[in-house]
Amino acid sequence: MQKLYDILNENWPDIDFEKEEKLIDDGVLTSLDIVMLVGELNDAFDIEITADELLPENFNSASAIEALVKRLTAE
Amino acid sequence: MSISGAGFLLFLTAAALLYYLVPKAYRRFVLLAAGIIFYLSFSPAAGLCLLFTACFTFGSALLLGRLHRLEKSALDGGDADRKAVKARFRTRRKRLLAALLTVNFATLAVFKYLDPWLAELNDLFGLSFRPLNLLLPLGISFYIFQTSGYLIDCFRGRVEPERNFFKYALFVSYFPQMIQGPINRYQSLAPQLYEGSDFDADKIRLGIELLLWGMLKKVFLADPLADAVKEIYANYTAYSGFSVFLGAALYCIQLYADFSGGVDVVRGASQIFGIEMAENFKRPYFSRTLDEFWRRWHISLGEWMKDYLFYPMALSGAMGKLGKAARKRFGADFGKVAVPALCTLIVFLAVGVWQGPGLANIAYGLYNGLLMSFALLVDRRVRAFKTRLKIKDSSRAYRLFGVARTCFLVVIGRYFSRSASLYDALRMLWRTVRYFGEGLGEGNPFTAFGLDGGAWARVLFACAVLFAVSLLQEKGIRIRETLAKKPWYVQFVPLFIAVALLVVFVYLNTDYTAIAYVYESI
Repeated sequence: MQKLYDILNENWPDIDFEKEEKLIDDGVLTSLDIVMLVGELNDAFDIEITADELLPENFNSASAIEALVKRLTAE
Repeated sequence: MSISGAGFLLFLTAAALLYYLVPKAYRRFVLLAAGIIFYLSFSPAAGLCLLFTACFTFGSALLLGRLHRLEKSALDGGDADRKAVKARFRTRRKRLLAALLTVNFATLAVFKYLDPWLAELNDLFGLSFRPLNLLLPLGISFYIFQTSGYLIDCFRGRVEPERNFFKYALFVSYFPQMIQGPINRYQSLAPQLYEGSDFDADKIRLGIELLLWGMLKKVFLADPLADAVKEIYANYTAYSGFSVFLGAALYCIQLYADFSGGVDVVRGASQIFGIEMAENFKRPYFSRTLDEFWRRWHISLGEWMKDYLFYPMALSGAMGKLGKAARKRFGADFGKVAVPALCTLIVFLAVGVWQGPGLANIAYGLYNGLLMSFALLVDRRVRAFKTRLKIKDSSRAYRLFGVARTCFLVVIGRYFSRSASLYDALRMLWRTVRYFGEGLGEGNPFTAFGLDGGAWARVLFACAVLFAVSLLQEKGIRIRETLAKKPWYVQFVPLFIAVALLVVFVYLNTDYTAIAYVYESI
């Protein structure tokens, strides 16, 4: 999952993804960030993240995003 | 029944007394009855429209739920190709949802937009469509959006469709939200309504405090500015560009005090019943960017637009292809932001249409959408520029600059959202630029439109109080909760002052005329 961290760190260098646990709840990532991130993830992992998956619990931390990507890759 | 009036307070008191007197299991019926009485007190005919929406969306959600159950049975039945089954049912649900939303929004279109758009067509093309002269049902924009959100959540499987019509009717007709929202989510509001609340004196006191604070904002800040703002927007050709700009700035203050005050009243009223409603404002004039402003202003509409329009559109297959094409044609940096920028523009067009049917409203949406899309497109370059000049986002000077720039952009936007037509808005802008200092030396530009020295002093004092309270809240201080920890006589002082002010200046004042809330007519 190094690829995921590369995407996150390259696009949002100011955010500490190792520590942040409330990326959505605290407004660290805005809706515009989320759409950009989803586009990158869809391309990088050949998955399709739909609007139905856009729940705070799926994007609040890097580990949550990783779990989402793993689940969709497995499906 | 105006929510600033004594009639509403009496009604609220009676409903709250009855609510806590009946057993908990029956409390929801008190709220349902109160909602029906409250709504019918405005217009019995409009009640039919509300009833139609409640019945239609209730049945629609059950249909969506049925499709979910059929899908589950097919999957449990061991159908080999699970992916195909899921895709098949998703397509069926999507088609059904599209049809249901079309009908739901058609109700809004017929009542809110049809006549103004027919008139516009008549004007533009010399046609002679006859207007239907339909009455705009109270709160229709709010309850159509709220019920549409419920349907989309049922479609996504996030909400189990309600099977009891009387419970669902309460979610649609809960009376504090009927005048001006906020647009509540089923998941957060409905369980509180259905379960009923235990009597909690602390919660009730917090609710009363919020309600009184909202009334003070409306009566002592929004209402005194209403006539002056109306005068400038109606007769802008008689004023200097400076006064026109001042009028738009005053309208920003009036609208905030009016809308946020109204929402405080309804959220406070709801808290009296122990029911928390969605927050709608977080001190928007402290925002450093327009994007932040829209995350702090009318939050429930912004969240609705984000979850039910922006995300589905931005993540759709068509936008995915567009994003790829943009990356290929214009490079990775532009390609990344092209889709969010386009979707932001479309969402703000929708926000403009939501505000009203006129071209000026559409222009208002476009204005905000274009500015935000542009900011997104140039974001990387701006960041590089700031790094080169060693400008830190966190510096006090840059933060103040951001707030001032955002306020300026918001004021310009209000030329469109308040003016009688797009033509008037553009002429007002032209006047501001071309005749900014005209006649400024001849008389007092601050009192020219009917706001005398005393009225200015009162308005400035009210602004200062609101600013001080907002500043404390910005620093993370929860004023009502902090007050609740003080001795009872300390808690009593602000309550007493608020009630005394309202009694003396409103309820015992025979000269006082109640002014309708700006968003009542939406």
